[in-house]
Amino acid sequence: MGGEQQRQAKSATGEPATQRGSSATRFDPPGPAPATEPLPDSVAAALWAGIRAETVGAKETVGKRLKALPVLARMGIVWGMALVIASIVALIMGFRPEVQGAAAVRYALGMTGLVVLAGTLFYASLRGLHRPAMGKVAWFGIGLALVLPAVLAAWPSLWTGSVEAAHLETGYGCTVLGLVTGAVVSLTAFALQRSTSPAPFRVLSALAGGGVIAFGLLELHCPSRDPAHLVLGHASVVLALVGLGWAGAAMWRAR
Amino acid sequence: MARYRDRGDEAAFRALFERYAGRLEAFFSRGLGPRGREGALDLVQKTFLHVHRARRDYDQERPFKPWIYTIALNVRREEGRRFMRSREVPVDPQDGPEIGVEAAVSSASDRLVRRALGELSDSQREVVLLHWFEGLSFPEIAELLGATVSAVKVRAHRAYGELRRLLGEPG
Repeated sequence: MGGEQQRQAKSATGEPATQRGSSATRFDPPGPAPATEPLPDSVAAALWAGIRAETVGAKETVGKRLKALPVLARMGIVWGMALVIASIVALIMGFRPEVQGAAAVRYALGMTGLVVLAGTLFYASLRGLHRPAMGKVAWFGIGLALVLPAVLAAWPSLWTGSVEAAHLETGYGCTVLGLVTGAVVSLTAFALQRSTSPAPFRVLSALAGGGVIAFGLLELHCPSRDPAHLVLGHASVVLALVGLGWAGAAMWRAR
Repeated sequence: MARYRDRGDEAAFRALFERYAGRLEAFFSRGLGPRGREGALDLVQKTFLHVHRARRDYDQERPFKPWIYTIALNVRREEGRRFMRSREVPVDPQDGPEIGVEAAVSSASDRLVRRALGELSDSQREVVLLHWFEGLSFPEIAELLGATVSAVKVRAHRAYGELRRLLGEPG
């Protein structure tokens, strides 16, 4: 091993650093790159044994095959899980029937925004390490996921539903429903991470995306237009999931 | 890479390991400090784990080297933080050797270069490692970092100027 490791670095023009002479440009390094020593055989053998045990020597499982899928396929699985959850909620609890006319357009726009946001968060979370990371996009999306549901919830003219006693009495039911549905979608995205210890922005993006999906499901189901209920019972789901993820990541790092 | 991507061929994967493991170890250990090699080997292992899981994402029309270094850079950024905390290296090249096998291969000039690399910002150090040590072109580095070629050149220009100053060479 290591024959190729002795080569010289190239300049911006592709010319080997040692042959530049007076043609050196302001982008050239200070000199030839220090040689890279090959790994000692014993170190290389131990390293290969560890890598082999985790890769080509490991038993192929369904989980490993799923993690190896391209990002769009893994996103499809997450969205499939969200659709399954939405279908279950629709079958058991029903969707709100009263949104019609202009309100339906506003409603659809709001939902489209949530879907785009959740999709971006899942993409940032699941994108492989062979592509430039989307850390900044992810952090912006996480911030937006915390703010946008609260803004939509506190915007009474967006919704045309009426405050119904049944929902006011079961205000915490919405929160529990949101936490459960959001957690299932988030855990699906988390389980499809390729890294055994994903970066915080990947974990929190998965949780925020699941929270946004859960908020959308609650808005599809619950006819309440009480801002307090919508903010505390619906939008808080995103904050709770992201907060739990943040605390979990901190504990993981500290262990 | 084609045999490995399509059939999971172990011999082909082993060949990739033999070609890149040493270079990746050096890529990770530069700037990691006294525990450099210990942490670097862990990051090399994580890199090959990601190579294995992302193998079907590899486009055979494109060069392999920038692809694997994109993974290595992201591993360094996302999973190398705990090793980055021990970045300090001896100021005096006559200081005691680093641990284990590191001592056998670490020369005084190499430690001076490591010390100088440690003074650069993360973004500058990444460009220097990829350009100077790994021989990647500026367009390849730009694609790898998700930045423009101009931005990468600006980082390189500033980093090399700073390195010349730190290494006592005329600017």
